[in-house]
Amino acid sequence: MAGGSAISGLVGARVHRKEDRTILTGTGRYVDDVQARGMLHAHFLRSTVAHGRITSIDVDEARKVEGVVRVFTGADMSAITEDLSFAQPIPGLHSPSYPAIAHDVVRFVGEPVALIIAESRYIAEDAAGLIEIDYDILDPIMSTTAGLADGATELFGDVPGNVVHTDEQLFGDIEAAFSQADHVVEQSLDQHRWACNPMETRGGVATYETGSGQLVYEASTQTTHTLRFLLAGWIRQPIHQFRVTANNIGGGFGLKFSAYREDVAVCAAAKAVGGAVKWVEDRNEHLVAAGAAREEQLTLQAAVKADGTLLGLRVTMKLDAGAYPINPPATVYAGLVRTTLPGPYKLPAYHFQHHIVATNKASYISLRGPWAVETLVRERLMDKIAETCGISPVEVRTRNLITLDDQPTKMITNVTLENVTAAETFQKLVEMVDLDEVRRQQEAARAEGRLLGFGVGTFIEPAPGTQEFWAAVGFPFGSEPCRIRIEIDGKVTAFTPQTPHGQSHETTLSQLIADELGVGFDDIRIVYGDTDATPFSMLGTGGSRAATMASGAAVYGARELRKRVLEIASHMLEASVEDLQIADGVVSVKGAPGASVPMGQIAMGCWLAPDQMPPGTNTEMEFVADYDGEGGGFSQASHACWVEVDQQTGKIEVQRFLVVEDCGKMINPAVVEGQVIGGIAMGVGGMLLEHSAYAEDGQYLTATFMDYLMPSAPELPEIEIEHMEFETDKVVGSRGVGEGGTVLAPAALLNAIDDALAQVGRPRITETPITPTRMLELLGVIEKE
Amino acid sequence: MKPAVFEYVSPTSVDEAVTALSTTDDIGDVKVLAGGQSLVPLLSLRLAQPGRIVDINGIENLSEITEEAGVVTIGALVRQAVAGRSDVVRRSIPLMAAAIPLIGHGAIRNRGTVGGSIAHADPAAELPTVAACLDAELVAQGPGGERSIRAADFFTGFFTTALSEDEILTAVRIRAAGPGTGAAYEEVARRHGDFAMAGVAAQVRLDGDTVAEARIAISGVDLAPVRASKAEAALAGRTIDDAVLDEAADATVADLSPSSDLHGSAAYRKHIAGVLIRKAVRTAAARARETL
Repeated sequence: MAGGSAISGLVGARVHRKEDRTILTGTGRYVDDVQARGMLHAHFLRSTVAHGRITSIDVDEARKVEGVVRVFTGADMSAITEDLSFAQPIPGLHSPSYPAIAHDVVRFVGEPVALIIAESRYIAEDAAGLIEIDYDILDPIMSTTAGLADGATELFGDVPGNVVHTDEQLFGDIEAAFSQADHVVEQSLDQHRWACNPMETRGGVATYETGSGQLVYEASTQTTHTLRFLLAGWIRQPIHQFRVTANNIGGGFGLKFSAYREDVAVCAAAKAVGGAVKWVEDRNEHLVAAGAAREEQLTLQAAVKADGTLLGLRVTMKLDAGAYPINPPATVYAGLVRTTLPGPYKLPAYHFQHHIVATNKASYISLRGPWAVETLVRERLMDKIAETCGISPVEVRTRNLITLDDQPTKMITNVTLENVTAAETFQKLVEMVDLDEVRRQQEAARAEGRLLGFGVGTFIEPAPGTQEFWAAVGFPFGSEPCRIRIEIDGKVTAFTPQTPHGQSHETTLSQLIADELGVGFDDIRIVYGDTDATPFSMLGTGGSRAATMASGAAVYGARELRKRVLEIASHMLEASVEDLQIADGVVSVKGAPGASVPMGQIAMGCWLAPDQMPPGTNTEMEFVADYDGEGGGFSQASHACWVEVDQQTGKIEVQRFLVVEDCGKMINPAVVEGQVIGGIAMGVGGMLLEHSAYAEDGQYLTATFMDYLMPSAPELPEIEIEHMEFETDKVVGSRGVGEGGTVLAPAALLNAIDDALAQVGRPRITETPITPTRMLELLGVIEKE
Repeated sequence: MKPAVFEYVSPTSVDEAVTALSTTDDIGDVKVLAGGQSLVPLLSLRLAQPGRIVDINGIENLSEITEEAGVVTIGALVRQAVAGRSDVVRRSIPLMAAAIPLIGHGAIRNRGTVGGSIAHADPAAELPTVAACLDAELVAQGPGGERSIRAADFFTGFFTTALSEDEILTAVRIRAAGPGTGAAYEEVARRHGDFAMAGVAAQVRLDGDTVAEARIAISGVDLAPVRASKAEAALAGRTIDDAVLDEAADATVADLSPSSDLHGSAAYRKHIAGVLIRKAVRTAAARARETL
């Protein structure tokens, strides 16, 4: 059955999403929809200073407010919780532990300094206004440069020199590469902080049952099991008495992979007050305190031959980690960037060095393709190599890309590439674009005083990646379980540790199971987000793993149950298994439709009277499959971006965006396209609009959506998508596609803008975001301040 | 993001509203709620914590647009969307008709009022700039009765106006544009619907090919809308061409000293003010020609 059966043919079809009926009719259950009798509301008072020692805190007036149930200072909270620690046995990693609520030193604007539990959020915020805190102000460290400076104020006693981690790794003979080079091409990029901003912010409702001692935490999370596992210890709750659930989740983008100090405080508060406590992070809190991503500075040096062939690459990365570590450790981000950066190109020698630096900002968090800067800097470097060598951006890539014919082969970072079609997507992209026509249009536009730019890029996405890949990164590549049950009436319930928050797993897993088992799409329910019900996994939904991993677990689970059903039916229908088929929940003999038995009849027999079922058959109608990924693999895509730069206002209009993507076998093209389009919107928004900005004194500047600018429909063109579906001989040939748009779009966009700048003799971009002000500075129209 | 406690009153007449504004009894600040598009976010963020909110939405007769003796009167409660669709506004205040589509988004304009925007006096907003450009008269009522304030005297600083605490803005009066008049509102915002980094309101009256009168105001470059008098003077009596436009724009821009923020540097704002003056005047003049 290699390649997957397709009796009902749902896999590959644009099946309408199961999720939409609930979400679009407003009947979903997000955290803020939870209402429980006597439920209390939590509000965090947050630090107004970036770095300071708390010298006094007075909560007396706050406690007197009518309707206030409890006020926790940092000391109160630390009396009932353990400090959060994300430390792992990683050599050289300095991962300070920290309390749920600060009681000693605050290290960013927005750090929780008190928690008020009250009958309403209004009352809690009233009380917060009455709390008086005095700080001794300390020097804020607001950049990696400031953090690494000699004599810089240290944020933590156990992070010497503010260096969370530093490492360098050498692959191949880098000295030889540079000594043989005809050109050394240098490039640098200073990327700004930008953020996840899911439509639903963080939050949860913790309910403590004083009789049984059970705690239930209904959270907006990407990982119910990990959240439970981490929180249990910190809140001193026996894990068997602790259940974490998640219902509809309004997006995560990586943010909700970690557990946070607010989770600890809300759960501990519920235990302390003996009831239900709701916390929904408001947008202001979210922007200030939830954390942001992408703040990295990279410098690259490429050794290349005169014809543009890459010989070697030296890379240095500084990563601004913010103050407090979260999950995963920052070394994982560095490892991801290092391991992925060579991408789908032949690279004989490579040196990568990183410094992860603590600063007085909210935490550096995962954001949709947390390693994305590797693609951004590499694809921009390829364009610069092309310029240096006098060849086109297409030629430089074509000369260096690893094609299918070259595979299997090893990346210089010791990762085997197999079935990687980045080169093929790029070839297809080039075929779809008339490059000569693009240049002619640019010339014609310049004659009219208009400026057009065109850029391309290509990449691979470790979705799910391989064992070797994750070993090189320093992160586990776990297998994925799925429990499937044929119910007593033949309907199917499947339990996944995935915690979908926009990825359509209810739809795609149902499509797969329906095809495998021969049951109706609507006769399948996918259960997720409940540690009491779903099989254990530390990973939940993230890293675009599900397309391969959760799909594989569902397919293998369904196949095992199908086998059991067919063996039983074979006895009942007196036909060999090979002659049987299942359609619409009925097992029948091929070519003899009269000889049939409903799956519900078999299931009922198995559940109620297994003794009376055919001897020697397996009557367990529930099975937990565990899928190892069959070696895993990569997704790939190539993008082309067309921009117009207004030389008077500095505004950039993305006129056209073309994607050629290959995520293998598409389970549902509509879902793939939704992910691609959303990903590109996020990538474009990140480069042009979104900025999680701090002032030099550490105050946060973009605390509402008036200043933190999300991309909206008028800022984006229609995204054109061409699919390639390279099929392997693996049972599950589907690869993840959730992050690629966000990873690659910034590269194609910046290459297009650089192309425009080059046409008028202006320098390349070295800093983001590309605001209209920055654009006019680059164009030489205005002076930089 | 939950407002602090406030007393809520909803008068049904301007007199009642004035009473609610003037009898504060140590209640603290009193704020008028019209469309609420600026006030409600300020309340939610607790940046405004008034002791009383006077909701004027229940007052009759503040939602009318009338034209009499060459003067258009827009009641303070007229929604921006309604003003934008009004035949009177389109015909007689083409500048306002050009500016309104640039205010936020449809949902905001459906709720936001003409009077509210002017009374809020955001220096980046469109309607205060329109009022400044057209020398609007702002009609205020207080305990001592009604008075009329010239736009030039009305916008006194950053989000501040000449309205005293016990006064309410009841109407905006603007002279109707005569024949030969064209208007344009040009701005640059980070995204569609955002407050502009700078904007220019321009109204040009032509006499044949020459400019009989030019009115220009700039948003986003100072604490209040700025009237570009040097540009207006530079254009008066001239025929519009690139050189004249340059002269007008340069004369104005040289005097500007905007501040920098995350969205645009001072140099950027100065630069685009010049770009937008040229663009707005050229467009306004072209529209003026169409009416001749």
